[in-house]
Amino acid sequence: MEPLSRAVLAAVLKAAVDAIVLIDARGIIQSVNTAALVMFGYNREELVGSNVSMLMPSPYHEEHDQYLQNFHATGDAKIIGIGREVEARRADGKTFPIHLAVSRVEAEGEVFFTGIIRDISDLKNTEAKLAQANEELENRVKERTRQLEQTQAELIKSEKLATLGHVSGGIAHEIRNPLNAVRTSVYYLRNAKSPSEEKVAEHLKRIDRQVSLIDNVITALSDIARLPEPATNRCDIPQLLTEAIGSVTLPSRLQIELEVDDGLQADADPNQLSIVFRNLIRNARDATSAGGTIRVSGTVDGKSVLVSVADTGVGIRDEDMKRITEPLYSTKPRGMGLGLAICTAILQKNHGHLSVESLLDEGTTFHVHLKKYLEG
Amino acid sequence: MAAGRILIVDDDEDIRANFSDILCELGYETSLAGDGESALQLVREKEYDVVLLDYQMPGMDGATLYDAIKKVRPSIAGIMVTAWAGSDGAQRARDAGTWEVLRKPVDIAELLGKIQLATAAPLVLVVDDDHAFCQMLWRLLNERRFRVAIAHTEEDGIRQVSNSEYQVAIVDLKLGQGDGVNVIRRIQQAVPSTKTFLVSGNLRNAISASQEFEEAVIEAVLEKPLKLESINRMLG
Repeated sequence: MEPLSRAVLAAVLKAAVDAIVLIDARGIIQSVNTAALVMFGYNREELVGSNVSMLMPSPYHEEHDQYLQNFHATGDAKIIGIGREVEARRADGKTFPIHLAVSRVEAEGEVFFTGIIRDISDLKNTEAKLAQANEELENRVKERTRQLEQTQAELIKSEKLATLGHVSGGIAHEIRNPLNAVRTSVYYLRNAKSPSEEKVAEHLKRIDRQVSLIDNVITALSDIARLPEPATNRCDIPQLLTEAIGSVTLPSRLQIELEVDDGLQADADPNQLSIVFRNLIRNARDATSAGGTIRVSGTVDGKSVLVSVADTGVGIRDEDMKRITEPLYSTKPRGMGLGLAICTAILQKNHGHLSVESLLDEGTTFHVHLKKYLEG
Repeated sequence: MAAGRILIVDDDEDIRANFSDILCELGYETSLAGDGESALQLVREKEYDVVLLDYQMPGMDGATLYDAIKKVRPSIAGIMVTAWAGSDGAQRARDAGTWEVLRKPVDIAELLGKIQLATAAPLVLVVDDDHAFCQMLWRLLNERRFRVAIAHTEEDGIRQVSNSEYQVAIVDLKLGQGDGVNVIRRIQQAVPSTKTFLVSGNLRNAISASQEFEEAVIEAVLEKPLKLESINRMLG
């Protein structure tokens, strides 16, 4: 068995893909396999008997003898039994990355070291390429992000401009109409040859009314710009609803019904709640311009108060439904699209909220959900 | 007689009333409508020279309304007064054939000047059973600030002759079953000073028809399709 196993071992060493170098305790190469010759580019004669440091670039080349002495003196191993990636040097002076595993062997009373060396140039190359690809990718992501940020900034800018255009268009319309009425009345008063007293009074009243319209527009704008903090208090719902209905001009072809629980009280700011009710009734009226019925009701439900404004009008289209509370969104020929936006904002600040149901050509119901007023 | 018949359409009651007060002071006759539908109803019932239109109104906007009005009475000149001037509404109004688009608050002296020009604009009667031909002439003449009435039959032509005084009449010889010659005869009786043109696809027939009339009754006989220069000659 002994001679056979020696032959087998020799064959194994010869055929190994990794380079195998055997040195003695002083670092002198005792034996190398074929792979080592190919890897380093030396003849066997050049290697065997030489110091192994010839296979190492600076500074290891100079320091290797010292490593060995240290190891003998202290047993402090830098590589032995561990294995690590280091640089190696070929016969032509070129260096290349290797994985080196060193093991200590004792035979015939002497200490030897076996180094098993694997060329990892390909691995390192791949790693480098990977790192480069990674870096390129990162740069591209950065560039793309920068472009996206720029596009987004431009989008925000153009959206702001579009909004601004929308706002000024709406405001222009809402203000130019009353201005037109004022200007034509002034022209009449100035140029009419012998206007009757009634005519003069009528025109002065119109001017006054139209100036109020302009004032309303500006009030609505400043209301939404800084909606004041609500002063929540006891709200008499039947009274607020009656007042709100009275404040909205309703054509005769429109029926309005009010059905509200006696003494119904909600906890909210009465002035702000009036704005909500007035807006909802005005919207219901505009939706039923061809005639119909508006039903306003108020009921208590546990700790909540529910006020509903139901109309038999045109209904809200699906595509408009998502946007009805959006400021400046309007489907009316007149109006800036602030009503429901203001309602939503007010209810949010008054522990309430708004909900809506609508069927096209059948009608719409807005529900105002409020907190019931509790004594004390 | 009134200085002109003006239809005022605006959804703001105060604005309608104000325009009306100012125009009545100047001797115009006015009718008022708050939306497109009631304006169209009035146009069906009565003749107007000019319609003052708002653009944004509930139901039907001003440009759509003018399109509908000109189908009923194409001789009404449209003047739009809008708070939205400069938007595509103004363009749509011009495309529909309105003569002016003025911005609110309107310069009243300017508006009154435009109304006066429109009420004094020459009236042209086009009598032809070819609808496309009538539309083409309407566009062309409307652009040059003529007010153009259209009739497609002999009866309608004769009816329109008795309704208004036309400065120019363009009459097709053959009107379906009807005869253009009868329309021209009626024009001759009503307003002899009307410049009358006889048009026909068959020049020989038209010339022999024109010989029935005394000289100077028919300004010219024109062969269809009309050439631009003969249209210019008619207008000159």
